Amino acid sequence: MSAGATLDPILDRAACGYPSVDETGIVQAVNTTLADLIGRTREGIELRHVDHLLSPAGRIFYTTHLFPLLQLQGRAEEVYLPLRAEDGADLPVLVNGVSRETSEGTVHDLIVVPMRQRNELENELIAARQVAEQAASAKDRFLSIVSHELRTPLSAARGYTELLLRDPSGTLSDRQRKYAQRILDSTVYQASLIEDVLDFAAQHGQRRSLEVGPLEIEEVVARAETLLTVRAAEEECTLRREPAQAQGSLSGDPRAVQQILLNLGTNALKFSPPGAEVLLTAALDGDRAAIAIQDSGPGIAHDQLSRIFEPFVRLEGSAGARTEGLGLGLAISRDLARSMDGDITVHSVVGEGSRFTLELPAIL
Amino acid sequence: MSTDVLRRNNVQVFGQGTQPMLFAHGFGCDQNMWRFMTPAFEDDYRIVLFDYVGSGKSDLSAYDADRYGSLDGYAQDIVDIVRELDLREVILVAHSVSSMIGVLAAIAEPDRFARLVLIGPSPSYLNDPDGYRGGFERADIEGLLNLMDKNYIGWANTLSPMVMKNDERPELTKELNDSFCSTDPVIARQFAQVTFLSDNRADLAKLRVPVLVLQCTDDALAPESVGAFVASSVPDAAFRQLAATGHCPHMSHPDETIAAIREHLAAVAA
Repeated sequence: MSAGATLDPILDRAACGYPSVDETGIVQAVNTTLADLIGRTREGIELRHVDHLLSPAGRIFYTTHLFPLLQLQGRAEEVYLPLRAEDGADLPVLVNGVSRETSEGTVHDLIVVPMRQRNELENELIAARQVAEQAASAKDRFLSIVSHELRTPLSAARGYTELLLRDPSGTLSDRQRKYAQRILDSTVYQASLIEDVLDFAAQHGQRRSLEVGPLEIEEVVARAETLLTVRAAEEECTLRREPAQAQGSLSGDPRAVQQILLNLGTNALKFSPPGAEVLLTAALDGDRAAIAIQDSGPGIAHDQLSRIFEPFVRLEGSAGARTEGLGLGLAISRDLARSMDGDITVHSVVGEGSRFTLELPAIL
Repeated sequence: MSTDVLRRNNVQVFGQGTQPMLFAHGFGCDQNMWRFMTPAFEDDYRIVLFDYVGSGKSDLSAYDADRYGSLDGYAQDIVDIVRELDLREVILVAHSVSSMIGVLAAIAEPDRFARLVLIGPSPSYLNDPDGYRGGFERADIEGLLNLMDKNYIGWANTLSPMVMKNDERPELTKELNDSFCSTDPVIARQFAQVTFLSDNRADLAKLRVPVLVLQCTDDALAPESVGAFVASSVPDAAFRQLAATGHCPHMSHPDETIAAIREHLAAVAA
């Protein structure tokens, strides 16, 4: 093909640019539409290197991506490239191309469509995504750094308090022992809060891999009961487990399931008045296993129900409710449940109490 | 770690010869780019192909942003491979950014390499106020990163693997697999930053392995002055100007590229 080759008038004036480039990068033909787009003449483009049509960034991308694709794969679609106009301005275009064999080697036929407005929009999209990604990763990084920093002095406090309480020579007074025990309890509790934060940050960074398998429902509930009975005594409540109505197995990760039930149970006990009873039940509902924890606490107002699974949301303003904790437990629990194809649901009546239900796939 | 490195870097070994010829692909592509070259050498050499972690069919889960945050991490891929296969007397044929990656690998393990063939090398793509002309300004590279972001919006249907029918060029479909220069967009972006913002000029003088620089005509990425800079900075270097234009002579002008390498190897053997 020689320069200035006569193009079909339809192609020459088509509503898109057309350059044909050989495998050495020399532009063999170009239509008038493309020449007009960049303010040049066909003669000023043909038989020169395609680099002259491209911005510096466009040259790199053409060389490292588009050319190999056309050469190895024979075609490329929807490639964004900035052309360089005669006046030095960049012209954003979309390029489709196919390769064609000729007697003189491979030729790449390209179609070029200007995309000025879409380009602006895409710039905004990319900027918005970067802002969102940076904010999310800054938050997670902050959480995990802060938590690590908090954990280190805490382990020292805990270790030394345990040493103190060992008291081999019996020099502690009862009052000193009581105070030391309270310090220890507080450090243990604070450590669990920090674990929550780390868990949360970890789930939003890189999730711990769950090992989902069959678990006996009876066994799951019995284990939760054992763990929660200790906590119930501390809260001066009683935990009652209704005779199991669900025989069989559910599908879940044993550690995650216990973590969820411990969280739901601890909440129930925390919000129950002294002397109250918390009920632990299990049932099969179709192909779902449901383990529910019912308290007789103050209940949750309807307008708050949708928010309680959000991170850092704590229930406040309810009479008698102690607002300790970071408000991460439910967020973590629901994330965990959902990643096991389950969910957590809540039913609550103000003044009567709340029932949180962990649903997981039943193995029938 | 043994099979891990070979799987991690999708290492392919074939050919009838004993001396290893290791081919290192450049930014934006994978080992597929060598397919016009390897048939010419497989009778006489043991051909070793691989994909850098993050490119082609490498194990993407092995990507570590810290390790691959500099060319040293990529050089370590090469070092891992030559150690794993216990290669000696290696002829490394490296394209574009792989040239400097190969130089770093050969500085780290000089005893394993016999010779480096650098196609379109550049130790620094940026122009330096000291007079060195890499060819690009920092703003150009930022433009490239923006361009990559845009193309990866439509990554799934743009540069990703495509199924094609190519009845006219059956040799293209012969090796067709699901990976033509495909790569992970986030990794590719970081690779672009590392490639185009690194300055390895000072490393060239440390190289103790002989080098052949293959310089293209009208190379948009590595101008002739840059190839000449490489050849004059490496203690033992030969420089060969190709008539081939562009930056990928192994794809556009494989015959000339093959002949240049063969002639050089024959000359140094004589």
